[in-house]
Amino acid sequence: MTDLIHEPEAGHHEEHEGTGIENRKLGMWVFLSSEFLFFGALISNYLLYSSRGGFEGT
Amino acid sequence: MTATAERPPTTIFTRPRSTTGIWSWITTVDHKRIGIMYGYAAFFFFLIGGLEALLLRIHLAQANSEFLTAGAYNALFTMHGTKMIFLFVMPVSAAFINYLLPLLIGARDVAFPRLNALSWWIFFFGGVFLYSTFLFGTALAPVGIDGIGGIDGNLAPGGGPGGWDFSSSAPNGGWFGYQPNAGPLYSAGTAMDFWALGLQILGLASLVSSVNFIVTVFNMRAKGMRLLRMPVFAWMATVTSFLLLFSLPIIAVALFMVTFDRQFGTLFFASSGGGDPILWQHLFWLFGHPEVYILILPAMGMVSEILPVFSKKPLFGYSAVVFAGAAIAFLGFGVWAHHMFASGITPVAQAAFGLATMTIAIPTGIKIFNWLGTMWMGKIRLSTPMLFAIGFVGMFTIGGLSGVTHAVVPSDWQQTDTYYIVAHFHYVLFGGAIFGLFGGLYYWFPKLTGRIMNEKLGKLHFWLQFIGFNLTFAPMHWLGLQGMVRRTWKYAPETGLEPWNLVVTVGAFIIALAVLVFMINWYVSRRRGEPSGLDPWDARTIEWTIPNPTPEYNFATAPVVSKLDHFWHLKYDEDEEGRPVRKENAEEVLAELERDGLNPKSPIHLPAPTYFPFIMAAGIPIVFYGVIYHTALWGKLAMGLGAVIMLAALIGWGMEPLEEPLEAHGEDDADHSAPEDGAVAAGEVPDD
Repeated sequence: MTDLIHEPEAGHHEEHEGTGIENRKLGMWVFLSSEFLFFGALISNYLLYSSRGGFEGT
Repeated sequence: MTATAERPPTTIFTRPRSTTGIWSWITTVDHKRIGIMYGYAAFFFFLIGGLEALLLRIHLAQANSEFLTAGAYNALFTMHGTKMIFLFVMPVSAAFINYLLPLLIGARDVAFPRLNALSWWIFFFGGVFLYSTFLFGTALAPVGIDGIGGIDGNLAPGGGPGGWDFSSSAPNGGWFGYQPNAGPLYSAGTAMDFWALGLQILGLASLVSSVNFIVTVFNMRAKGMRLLRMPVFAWMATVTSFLLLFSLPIIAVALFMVTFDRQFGTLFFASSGGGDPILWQHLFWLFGHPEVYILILPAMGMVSEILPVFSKKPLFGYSAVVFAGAAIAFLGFGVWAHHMFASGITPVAQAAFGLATMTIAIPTGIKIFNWLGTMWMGKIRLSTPMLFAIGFVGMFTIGGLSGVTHAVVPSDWQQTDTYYIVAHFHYVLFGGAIFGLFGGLYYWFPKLTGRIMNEKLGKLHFWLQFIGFNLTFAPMHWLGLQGMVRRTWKYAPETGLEPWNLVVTVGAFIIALAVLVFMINWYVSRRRGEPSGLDPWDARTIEWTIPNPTPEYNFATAPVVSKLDHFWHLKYDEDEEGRPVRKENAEEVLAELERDGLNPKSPIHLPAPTYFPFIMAAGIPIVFYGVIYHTALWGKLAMGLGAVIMLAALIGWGMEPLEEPLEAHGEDDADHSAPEDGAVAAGEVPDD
């Protein structure tokens, strides 16, 4: 919420073209889109291959 | 300012203050300095990778050569490929993007300057980790097979005494790490673990910077810099970042699986345990094909900047070039199996991937024709950057066309694992990417130093490299079609391959000479080159509206952009027939820009330097050493130690105020570049 307070008072909200989403929030969403693929690939590979036997205890 | 500015400054260490010397570089968060460090590190690895290539070529110049042992040969081509891709072309692209992206879009820094420093230091430690295999790694003989492999007996029965031998310590499973060859059975020892975990670290660095660049482009553009007014290089940097974002997790998973197979006894890639070696190929190339576009798209972006400037024309079909770049990236995710036509995938898959691969030729062709259209009827100046850009277009077209021949499945079966493939990807990566990158270096050198690189040496460099490159890689096409197998350690004299191999080797040494000329030129021009002034090339984009070398604060006042090629329109009008006419006051405009750029009206907040990215990055390789030696006690301790270091850095990073207490801070916010407190951790005024 900091930027809600901050923008009108500092008066440079006009200075950038942007998405209007705070940097940190946007960065985290972008990063999550990558993590989604990472864990998707890791877990699906594990599920697929763990049922084939060969893993001890499965 | 913000709520955070009122927070009391709680730091674990005092904040680094030095502005010169080694500590200023270690603690810097300035995107330009980070870019420079990336660039020098990448070039260092380029020299080593080139040296490895020269050793390989000396060896292959003769039939039945004894110069290298087979183990050393394997190690050299593995390290050459790994290095040139992950430690040269990727970081040198990152260097350009780091240095230029904020300048091109009119920002004071990237969105997350400290993350940017973290990315560079992760890359640095990743490179050190990968290289430490030469000290600590072991490449043992395959389990259960005597007389083959590294330490126990060189694969080289003929490996003569005095031959170069890295085979006992360096990874030797190829840059592609195919399973099961690179698995625990056939590549015993720790060398391939160093490889897998080293790439893991390097991938992490690229992931961090890709997030950073994407947010930078979407949130930090100057006023009026709409997406479709961004320079093409900024666009290609964005596209590349998205490619990294979506392809790196896949290789990360694959490398984790390899590490687990090798270290913890899983059987993902061992067919004996229900695993599948082909799974590795799918995962690797699902990353690996987008990767080749990661390597080439930044160079395409640079060429798209250089050609219009030296043709004195706008880029032909700007939006087509941009969208073609995006289309290449998108299609790049759907073509990976063309690397696997010989692996026994079904005919339907072969047809589908063959067609998808041919489809990529369409956006690529759009780009090539747009570049030609840009030069067509232009007032061409053949300065060094332009020579390299034209060289790029020509060589890349040859490489692209031979690439299309791989899309034809029956033809590809003949070419798989021959030197034809080697010729193809060197035309794309060397003739393409590296020519483009050198063009970019010559073009943007004034931004680094305020000087122009020597044109005579530059042209000598270009012609030597152009001739050497074609002598090296053109004959590989016919060597491959005659059946010379890729990665072959020896070939018999009866094959008749020797003469062309000798030509190839001579060519490789001419390239080495060209690079030497470049280095001399760089060294001399850095200090004694001709001063460039504000606008040495009559450029079009806004990074040239600020003085050379770039001031620490980039833009003295936040730029406002009204057109594509904004800078050009400050200098030129059009007459009735659309020809550019230089404005009468153009020189005054330039002088004013230079004066204003050097004298900011009010103090400018810059991101404050910090120790924590460096410390956090340093923890990562320690953990990974622990993983490799996890059976020993000290390995477990190392994992713990690395984790503690990273945690400590994390806490310090979090506790460190985003901004220094604002001492001389008044009403100068108007040109403060950071809209978010989390964005540019502002605080230090430059004269502080």
